[in-house]
Amino acid sequence: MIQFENVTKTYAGGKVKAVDGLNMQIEDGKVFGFIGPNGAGKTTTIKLLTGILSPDSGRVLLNGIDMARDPIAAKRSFGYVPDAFDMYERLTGMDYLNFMADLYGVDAASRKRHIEKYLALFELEDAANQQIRGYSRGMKQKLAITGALIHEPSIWVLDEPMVGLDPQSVFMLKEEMRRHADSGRTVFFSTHVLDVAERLCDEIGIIKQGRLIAFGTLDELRHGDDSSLEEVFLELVEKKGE
Amino acid sequence: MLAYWKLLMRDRLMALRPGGRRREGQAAWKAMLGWTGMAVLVVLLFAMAVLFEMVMYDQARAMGEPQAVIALAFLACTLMTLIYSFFYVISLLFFGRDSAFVGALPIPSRGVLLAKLATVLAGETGLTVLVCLPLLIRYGVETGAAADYYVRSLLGTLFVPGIPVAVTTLLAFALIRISALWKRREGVTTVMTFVLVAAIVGAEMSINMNMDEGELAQVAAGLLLGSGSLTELVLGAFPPLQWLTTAATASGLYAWGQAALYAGVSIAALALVVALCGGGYMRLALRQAEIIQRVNSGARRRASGWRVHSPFWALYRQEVREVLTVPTYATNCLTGAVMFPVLLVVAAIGIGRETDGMALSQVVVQFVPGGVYLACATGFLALTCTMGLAVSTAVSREGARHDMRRIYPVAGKVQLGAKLLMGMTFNLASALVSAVALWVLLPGMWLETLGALAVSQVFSLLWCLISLLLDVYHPKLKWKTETEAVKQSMNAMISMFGGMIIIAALVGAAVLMVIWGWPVSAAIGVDLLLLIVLDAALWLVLSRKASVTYCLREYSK
Repeated sequence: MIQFENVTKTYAGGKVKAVDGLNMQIEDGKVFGFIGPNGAGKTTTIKLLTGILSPDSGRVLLNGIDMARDPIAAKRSFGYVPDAFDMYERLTGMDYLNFMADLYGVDAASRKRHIEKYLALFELEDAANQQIRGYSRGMKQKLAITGALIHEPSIWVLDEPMVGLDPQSVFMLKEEMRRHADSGRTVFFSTHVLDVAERLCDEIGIIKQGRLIAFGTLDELRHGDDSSLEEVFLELVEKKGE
Repeated sequence: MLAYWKLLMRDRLMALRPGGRRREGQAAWKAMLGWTGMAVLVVLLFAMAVLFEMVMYDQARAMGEPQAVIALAFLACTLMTLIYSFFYVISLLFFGRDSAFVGALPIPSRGVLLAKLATVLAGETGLTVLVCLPLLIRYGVETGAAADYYVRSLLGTLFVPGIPVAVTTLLAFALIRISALWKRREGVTTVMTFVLVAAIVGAEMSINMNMDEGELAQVAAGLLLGSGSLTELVLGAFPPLQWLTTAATASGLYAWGQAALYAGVSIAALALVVALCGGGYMRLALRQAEIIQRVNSGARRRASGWRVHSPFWALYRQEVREVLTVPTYATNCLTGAVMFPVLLVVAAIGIGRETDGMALSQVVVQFVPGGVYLACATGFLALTCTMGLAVSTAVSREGARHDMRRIYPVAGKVQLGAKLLMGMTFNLASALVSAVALWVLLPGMWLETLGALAVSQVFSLLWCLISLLLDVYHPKLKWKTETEAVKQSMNAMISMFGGMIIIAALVGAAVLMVIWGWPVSAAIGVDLLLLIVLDAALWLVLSRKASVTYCLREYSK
């Protein structure tokens, strides 16, 4: 479960509110889609969720653990895939995965099982012993996903995870996300692809200028009519912008 | 081609402006303060250099040979350009990130090479003029030279970097071509860079060791007259220096002819390099840029080991591996391990010569008490530790990756501990190589050398702690190139000089104690105790307050 309690993050000495009084709770067993225009505060929210940024006020809880009070335990509970993979590019893919497994204290048998599963799923076996800097964007994304999930976290935090992936891998990843939520755990992901969010998410949050302007299931956001998420999104964003 | 050269020059000049190095989110006044500090430092260094030149000039004038200092200034600039332009040339030509971009532009390969070399020459010429001009002006004023002297000597000075830059360009091409034969191309480039620089520094040291103060006038006169053993040596390596010196100090048509000869040879050397290497330059640069694709294409699919490490060791291994695998980091962080043994061996050879063939070990054993040797060796080995930049840039090198480190479920103390151990490992490697050189040179003093190695590592811990704390509190995380992260690091500079000051203070304290009648071993013991107390205190700071600061630092801010 993920909880944001009145979380605010400002920049430029408080002049710019990147996230403004965010209150949100995502229950276990849900795939949550976080959408919003460019610069709305999606990535900042994700960075607050993962402890990369510290909130100016409010608190973030993961499975009931306060990120500010016990960051190590909180960080063990999630796996994070950033929007851009900027890691140790001179490592081979396998070196990177082993490094991540060491950080999270994953034993040899578990890491072997996990790595082999995801390398096969993403068809990365042949590239595993190549240096990361020779990878395409999609290959880096697949590696980042494999590394983030290596300790089998209960919460997945994915920042635009489908960008750069081939259609087959997008399908596989969506299947895995659904399966993870169906097993009673949580998936939090941001995306600009509204079709994916519409079909995959149990709950959706829309953020604009740092404020959460809508939150709920797709049906709740539609208010009873049969409009698409795209129409709901455009209507909300334009209305709130007026 | 001209447009590309203008772009390169503009890029360099923009970086020199007060706002040119302003980091994202940094307050304007802070950037201005930093720039002013750098400017003051540069002016101070320049003033010290000019003062040194003037003292040298006074001595040479007293010997009746003021021209000798001008000749030596030209020689020094030539050698300095030869050493320092090598790194700049190789990184600009082959390790830049613009190869693919330039490769797609409608500029001939030779044009690109020429534009890049012109950029290097502009910088080196500026430095050479700064160094030589004060001497040339003083010489001109004191000898009552006519206006044509100033024009001629300035023109001649402008061409000083031509030949050394041509030589370093040829060396850079040779290095890249040879390293292309190996799969581990970057590693080979790093090792060969070390070998090359060590050879140049060794040669320079060897020349210096053969010169004492009494020989200065003789050497200078030799340079002018073309006689004497060292003159033959120098002119054997750079014969055009004779023409340049004559062009600056003689008069009339003959002097102009010598200036034209020197300028002609410089231009010809550069033209020859561009003609020889220019045609294939872009092909070679692009091959270098796509090195990883070729290395990866040869990687075999193999069963991987599943060895488990603790988070601390995983981080430590990663820190060490990063320094060793990135050429820019390796060449900057392992300087002490390469340079000091070379200096040591050259110095030992020099001492051997001056003691009329008597074995160095015999000289030391006979004339140097064990305690004094221990103190000197400790100071020397401690100095080797301050030369590396691995730990003083350990946080800064994270750059944008610092964000990702914040999600690691590992305490800040553990993360900083891994960086500290990495720094100490490289320091131990540097000190160990120098200690081995000492063991070989002075086998009779092996026990003292061992003691010096041990004490130097206690200092190494202190220096690593100070350097790391500095980088934790003032990291430079916003950088675009790896060179920017280490070479342009103020923390690295401060910790390097700070380390030297601490060594000087400890040596000074020990000397005072000896003067007051303490035994040398007791003085070293007091220093050691002081080091241990400081190590413990700073470790507490690092593992508590600094760890929190490290964990809370936001790259995105």
